[in-house]
Amino acid sequence: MRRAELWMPWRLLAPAIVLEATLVLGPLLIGIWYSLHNVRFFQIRAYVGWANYQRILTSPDVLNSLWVTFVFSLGALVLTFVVGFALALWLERDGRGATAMRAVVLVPYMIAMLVGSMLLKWVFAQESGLSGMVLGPLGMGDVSILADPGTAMAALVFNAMWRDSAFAMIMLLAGLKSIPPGLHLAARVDGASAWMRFRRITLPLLRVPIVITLVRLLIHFVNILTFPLILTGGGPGNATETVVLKMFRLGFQDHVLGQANALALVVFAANLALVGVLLLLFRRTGRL
Amino acid sequence: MTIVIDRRAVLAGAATALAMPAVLREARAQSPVTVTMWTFLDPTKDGGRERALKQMIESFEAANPGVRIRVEPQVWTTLGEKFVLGHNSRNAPDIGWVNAENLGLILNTEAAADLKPLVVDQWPAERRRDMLVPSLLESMTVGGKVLAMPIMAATWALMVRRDLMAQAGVTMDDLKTWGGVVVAAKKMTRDTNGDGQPDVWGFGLGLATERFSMTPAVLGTVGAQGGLFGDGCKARIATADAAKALQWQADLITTHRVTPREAVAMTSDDAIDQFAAGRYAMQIVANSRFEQIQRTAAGWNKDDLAITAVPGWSADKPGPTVIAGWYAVAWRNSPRLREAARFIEHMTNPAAMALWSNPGTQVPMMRSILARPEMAEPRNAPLRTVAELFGVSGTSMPGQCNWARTFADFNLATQQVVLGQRTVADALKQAEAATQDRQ
Repeated sequence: MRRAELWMPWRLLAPAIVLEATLVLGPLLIGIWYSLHNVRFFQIRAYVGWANYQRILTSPDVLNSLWVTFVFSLGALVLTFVVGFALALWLERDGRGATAMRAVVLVPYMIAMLVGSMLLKWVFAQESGLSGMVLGPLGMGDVSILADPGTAMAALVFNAMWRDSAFAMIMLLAGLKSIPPGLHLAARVDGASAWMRFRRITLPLLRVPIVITLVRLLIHFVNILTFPLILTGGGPGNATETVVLKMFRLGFQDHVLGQANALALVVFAANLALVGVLLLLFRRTGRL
Repeated sequence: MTIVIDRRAVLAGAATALAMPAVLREARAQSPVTVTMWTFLDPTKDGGRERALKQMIESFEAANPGVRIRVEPQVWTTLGEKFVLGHNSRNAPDIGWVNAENLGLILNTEAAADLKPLVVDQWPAERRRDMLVPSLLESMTVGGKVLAMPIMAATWALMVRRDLMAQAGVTMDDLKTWGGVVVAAKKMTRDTNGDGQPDVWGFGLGLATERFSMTPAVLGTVGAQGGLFGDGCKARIATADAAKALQWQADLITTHRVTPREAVAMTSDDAIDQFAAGRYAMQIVANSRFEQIQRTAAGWNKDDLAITAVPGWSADKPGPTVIAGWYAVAWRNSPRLREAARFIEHMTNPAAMALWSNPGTQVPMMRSILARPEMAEPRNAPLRTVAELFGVSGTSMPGQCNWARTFADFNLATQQVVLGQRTVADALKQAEAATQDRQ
């Protein structure tokens, strides 16, 4: 092979490598550098080694935010997936009604996250929102959804499900469409019930779309900022302060960039672990 | 074609090359110096403050033909951060505007120039005496250096609806103490449609930790102990005075039931919207929102809105008038520092202060402006009230201390007490630690 041919792949890759290094690797290295320093008011004050990591990993606030993130992500993942799957199964058949419904279901996903969360805030507000009008006649006029830690978390999970079940539906609908109709027909001829066809044909053939959807949603929910920032503000009493919201506050409101970057790198490691899970599940399904 | 370079051409070229630096220097000297300023105001727009700034720029440029002012409008919430980041990247504007809450960001970095020799030392003797709150300048002084100049002042005051007061038999004298406010709030909390739920609450609060503002707990603490910080910006929040103030605030929701429980989830903007919608009888609000509340008043007469002093713990000592607002800082590495300082002086001299008051509708910061005949007109009554409060009980937070999120710390503490998650003492300890961590 000629020398020029040997270098050709690298030449083609060079623009992408330079872009990645500039936009991903560079900031990552700066983030690591910051996380090892006391950075106050956007100025590096002193090298502190692992102190920032130690500080955030022993902070009750950060540990609370990790627990909140776990509860929110799990709740949002299960509900979003179940609703998305149900919608995909319901709207699988082509027809005018199904097409119209798909469009309706997609509306929350098309609305900007910030706007959607603001809309829901107005819906859940007791004093001026729809919830007061609905709950009032039921004798629950004094119930404030956003002022109670439990119901505020439920509202946050609802926000996630309301917006992202459309994404789950699209992913799973694509998977459903790829299943040859002949399989279901043959099973029906053989006398298989609807449940049997779902369990023996649909589910096994949807394994890869299901894994992709679950992991994609999980990464999305772990890293979400907009929902808690706009809908609940992390409250009441830090009950909905997720780890990314905590990171945002440390960095952009408290201006302690050393700790914020340490926490960002912990979250980054968690994301890498989630990607690792994705790759592992792909291998198990025989696709890699 | 052949080009012949003869001796004459070589000599002409050499002469031109030698003369070029001098020509460029002369051209630069004759071209106007452009001073860049970051502010949230856009002088091309039509608003009172915008018109005031435009007039100031025009008069300054007329008096200083060699200097041009270029305004680059910015989002107001990020002005402080951007200025420091600009300083770090050696690309800050010559002048930046910073709000009081974010001054700690500027005063703790080395981004701002000392305006004492450039501005303050040039003042005539009576100028300092003319200031309604001279301590405002002291709070901007670090190690003898004056690092910011106040442009506009604002504060938080008690806003109340006169119509509801009259219906409940409450007078302004009843609102001079925090204890009196509770009694009045109970009288003004009403269920008008008989559904068992109050439709008008006695006292409005927004206690969220995002988009927060001043609350009675902070004012009660400042009023009782004189401030939130000790020497070296050491936070003083876990104190008996703060505990009394926080308990008072939480009791509005839990014990007296004159504030809806939903207040723990409401931003200050939400609470102001509710006040304008007629749901609250009283609320601590920034004086700059007076006109907005009047404009959006729904279901009640806007002329019934009154503004009065922050209550105190006893009738003989009024509550604190904590002064916030906007400040101008000059970038210390600016190549046009002298021109920038000249414009800052121009924006803060008595003539400019008159413009900020009219057409700018800002509270006068000088006695001479307050004494002007137009300030006695009824339309300026709210401004006059606040200016008088400045003179009586005006105080400012120490500029070098970072209190940008201390109000949120108090709000979180109140949430935790209302929800039964922490005791008052524990909640305040956490608030103090959070504020201290930011210093």
